[in-house]
Amino acid sequence: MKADYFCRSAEHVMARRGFLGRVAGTGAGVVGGLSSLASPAAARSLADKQMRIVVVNMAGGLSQLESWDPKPGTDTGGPFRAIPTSVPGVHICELLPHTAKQMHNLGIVRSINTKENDHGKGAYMMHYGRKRMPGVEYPKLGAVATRALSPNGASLPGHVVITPGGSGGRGNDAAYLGPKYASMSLGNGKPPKNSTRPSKITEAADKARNEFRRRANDRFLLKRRTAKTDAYTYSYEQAKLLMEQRDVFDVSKEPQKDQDRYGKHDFGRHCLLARRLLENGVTFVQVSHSNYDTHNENFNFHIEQLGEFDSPFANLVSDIADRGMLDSTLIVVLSEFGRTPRINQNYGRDHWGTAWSICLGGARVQRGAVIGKTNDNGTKVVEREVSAGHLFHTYLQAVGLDSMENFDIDGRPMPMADPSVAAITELVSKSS
Amino acid sequence: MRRLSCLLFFVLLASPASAVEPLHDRIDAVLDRGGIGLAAPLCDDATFVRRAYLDLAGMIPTGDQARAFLEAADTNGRDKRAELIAQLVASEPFNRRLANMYDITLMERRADKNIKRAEWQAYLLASVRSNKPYKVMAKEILAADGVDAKLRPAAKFFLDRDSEPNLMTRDVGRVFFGMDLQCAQCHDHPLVDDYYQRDYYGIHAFVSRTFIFDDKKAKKKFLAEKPDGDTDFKSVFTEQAGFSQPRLPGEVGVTEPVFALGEEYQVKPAKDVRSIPKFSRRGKLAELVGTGNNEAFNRNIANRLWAFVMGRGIVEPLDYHHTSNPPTNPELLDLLTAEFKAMGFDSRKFIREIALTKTYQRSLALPDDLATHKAAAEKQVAQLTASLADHEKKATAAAVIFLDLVDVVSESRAEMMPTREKHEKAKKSWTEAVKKTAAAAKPMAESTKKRDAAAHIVNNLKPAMESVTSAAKSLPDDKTLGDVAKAFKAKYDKHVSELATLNKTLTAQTAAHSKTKQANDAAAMQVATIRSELTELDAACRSKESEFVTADKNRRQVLLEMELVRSQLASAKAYMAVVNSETATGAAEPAKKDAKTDEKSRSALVDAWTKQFAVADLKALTPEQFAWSMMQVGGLIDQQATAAKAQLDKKTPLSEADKKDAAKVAVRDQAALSTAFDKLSGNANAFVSLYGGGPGQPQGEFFATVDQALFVSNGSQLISWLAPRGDNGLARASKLTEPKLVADEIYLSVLSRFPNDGERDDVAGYLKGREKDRAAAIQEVCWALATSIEFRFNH
Repeated sequence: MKADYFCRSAEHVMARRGFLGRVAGTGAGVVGGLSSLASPAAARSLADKQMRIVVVNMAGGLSQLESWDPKPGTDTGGPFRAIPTSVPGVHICELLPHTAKQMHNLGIVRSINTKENDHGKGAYMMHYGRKRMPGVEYPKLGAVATRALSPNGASLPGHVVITPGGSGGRGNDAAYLGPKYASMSLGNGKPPKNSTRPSKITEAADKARNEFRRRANDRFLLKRRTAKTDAYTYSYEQAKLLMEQRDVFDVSKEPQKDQDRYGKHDFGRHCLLARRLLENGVTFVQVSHSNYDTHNENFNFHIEQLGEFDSPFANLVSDIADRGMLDSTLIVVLSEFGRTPRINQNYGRDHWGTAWSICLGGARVQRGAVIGKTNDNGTKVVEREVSAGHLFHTYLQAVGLDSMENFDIDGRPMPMADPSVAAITELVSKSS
Repeated sequence: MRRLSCLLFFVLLASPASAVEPLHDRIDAVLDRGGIGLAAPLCDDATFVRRAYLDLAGMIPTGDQARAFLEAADTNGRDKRAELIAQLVASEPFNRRLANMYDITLMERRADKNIKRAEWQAYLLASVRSNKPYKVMAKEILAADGVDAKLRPAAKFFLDRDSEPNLMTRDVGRVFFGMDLQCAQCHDHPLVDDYYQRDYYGIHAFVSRTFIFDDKKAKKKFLAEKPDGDTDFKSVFTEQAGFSQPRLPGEVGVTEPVFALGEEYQVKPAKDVRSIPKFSRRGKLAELVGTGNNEAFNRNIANRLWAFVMGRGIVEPLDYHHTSNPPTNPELLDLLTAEFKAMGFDSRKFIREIALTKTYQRSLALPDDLATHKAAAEKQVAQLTASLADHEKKATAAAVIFLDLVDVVSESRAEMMPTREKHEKAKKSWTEAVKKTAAAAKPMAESTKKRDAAAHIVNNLKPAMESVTSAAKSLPDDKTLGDVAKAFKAKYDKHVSELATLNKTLTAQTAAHSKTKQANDAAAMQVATIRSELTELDAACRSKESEFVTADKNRRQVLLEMELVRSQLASAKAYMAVVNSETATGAAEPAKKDAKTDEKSRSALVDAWTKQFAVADLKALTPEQFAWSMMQVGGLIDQQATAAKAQLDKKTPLSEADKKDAAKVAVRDQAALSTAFDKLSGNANAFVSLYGGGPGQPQGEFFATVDQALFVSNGSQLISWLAPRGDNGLARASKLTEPKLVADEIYLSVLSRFPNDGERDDVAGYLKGREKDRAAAIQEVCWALATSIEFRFNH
């Protein structure tokens, strides 16, 4: 039986379909699509605010006990102390002294239960906001954000992933939103492929040939001009703008002082690059820090890894705040899962999706908020249990989107986020 | 009765028997009938030659081919456009382009898993070359299990989807039936009235028993199938449970043969053995599809082939056929569906007919004399408005009947659930009883064996004992003999008594066995009884299902007739808006503010006409068309083909006689071209990864990204292609001195047309002062034209 959304009277049958025609070809009953964004005024106001997201991906699985949810003095707590932060009453692990000073710009969720201990599946849940289902592909957070937030006519790509290595290129992570919203990855922070003019072509020649191209286009446009032709011609203007702004991808153009502050190592450089990109209007930037998969020597590894992470990340947060971008920039530090409270025989901690934490801040995230609780030795969630889907909704709500809406994909309504769960509303302030 | 006459109306129109005219004329007639008698004029030769090459050969023509076509005359009743279509459709590039379309439709650029792409493409290419009817190809693809080496590539469709049931269901639905049922996996589609959960599971049931068999010895994967496993489901909204038999969209479920317990297999499963059921559901799917009698299947392919030529489907998106997303011209889709079937699913012939239509030859421009049909359009708007109200009434009535039947059908299936459970339970106790009977038979068999042995002894002892006893009687005083006789008697008695015990045991065991056997028979009987109950219930369901199918067809017709009226009305109104706005501007002062209104109403008219195929659409080149066209500009294909031909001629020279035989020369040319394509095919990869959709996603979507523009602007590949090479346009242009001829050469080889005077001047101006690096300047002009809108789109 059909779910009864309507009673069976003839009028309602009529009304329900809007009798086909008014929405012919778009599928009856599509809920708004992103209609709020489609209205020019709303789109403009978002563009003015330039909502952005930066995700720091702690690859391998950061230990919540050595970071956001320390349990010192318990059987599972390990050797480190908890230290006070800039938010009275909120303590985090002593391995994050600089981050602790930024806590008033951030918040913590301590009650995540993703029930997933596999690297790939855990990462998928966290970045796509859903469980991976065979036969179905969903767009990644960056693609969703770019599609919903990027102003049309942006000169830089909206969805950028800075990878520790690799040659760069377009990711396959936009699913039905289409390759336009797929990530552009910058291998080890290097600028996009093909972004320099070949030496064989002089600047004058490049200019001349492009002018010839534009004249040819103008002649053709007298015959037909459509959204497609606009998009096509614009991609060349975008290429030109990108080449002119190629410095945006070059962290060495940042003041030496900042380069020193962030550090010479990859993560420091990548954080500084992220700041640079966000400042220049890129909607979504992901930085990775690797590797937290500490089955052996968990404590030594976390000293080393977080020692590298702490200062550049704290710099990123404070710089974003100092530049007045905090209200418009969502900051998320996530992993595929946390690590077991039980310490194994190799002084390691293993995969643990049952009770772990993430840190997020900026945008509409309530500053200094701590959501949820685990028990005394961190073996289970005792308050406000959430999963990856809730977090995904929360990110979107935090940048001002209604995560319960649908994208209209060629007449097919596609929910922005898993419709069976909702955002952690108490973490998101109503307006920014 | 009225409904019936409507149905008849459609049937008559779509019936192939009623028409003697060639299909392309009838297509034009159907489209003419709906409009106001006005459409975009036919395109010019230059537009046509580029369009035809792109659509039918997958790339632009060479400069020479374009020039030859443009300079040829239509004298003595010669129709050069029809000739070109015939020639292209018979060519190797056409085979490649069509095979490529099938590849992309079926695999959607998924990464290779179990079958190599090259083998799969070779299979498709061979199928196209041999004019294999589409329904046969579809049958092969759906049936292939990977065992038959010749058809192994066809198993890619399932093998490379890892035989994942939901993925197979979704893609069989989308690719073969044009129905994206994914949303109906967990509940009836909330927004689409035509998509039900039982539709999803109807397809699911065909494929869910299929699994991958990993043959360690052969180091290959094959498809195998279980003989059981039903697809029960429950709506997450209403909690209503249901199940589905294998069922094609728009049809009643399949009746399946019933086998006795343990008799379900052709090859029984064992370690490292690929089991084969006697009845394969997937095989049944292939068989049903192969008959070419399923409407949804036929409509899907007719629409896809139409879109292949025209650039857009009559239903868009191609995998979203349902009544809320109706065909823009239902009559046309019905005609094409019926005709494709009537011509035996011959894609080549069908595509040729589409290309021969006037509809295919429409230009981008609206007619100059738009206003002439104003009066007719006004009348039409009035008529259509009245008729639309009538249609809406009918549609509502049909929808109400239909929606009631929807519930009846799912409820009737739901009613079967308890009996199905009883059946499952009875089957289980039958299995138990069979086991018990077997258990009881075992000691009985052992006892029988023992008993027979004991009887054998008794039988042997008896004569001996009797003769010894008789001998002892005759010599009564012989003590020794008397003792022997006693001993014999004692032995004999002992064995007789043992035999009696054994017999007793056996009798008891036989009785026990017969009891289990009775229980067994009773269980079997019970199963049979419940099964006949089920069959009865099933028959009732089926009759309801078939009622539903009829109501659904009827509803579809009613809705589509309404839709036709609606889209005609929209089209006529869009036309009126343009005419009104333009005549108003003409009458009053030519105010500037109206220019925008004009443009807007004109573009609305273009949209409406585009959907009705009354004006040409701008079609973005596919990644492959774009890449091969770039290679064509660079002369890469000619270069490779010439080299391949030289090699062939060296290896197996044609005799002087053969050289004069046009057919033999043509065969050689095709072979050389084919080699050239194989050599160059890797070249398209960079374009595919930048201009193609994501793997497993629909591929038709146009998008323009900065990385594409960076690639063609700065990438080394295009720079090296667009260089003087052999006799290509760039090389020729570099040798020419007269500016006009240079411009001609460049425009012909890049845009397949002659430049106009303004364009010639533009080229001349560009080359002025570049005498020192003229070749570079020519290269720049070629690049500019190859990256222009005119090149990126097919128009």
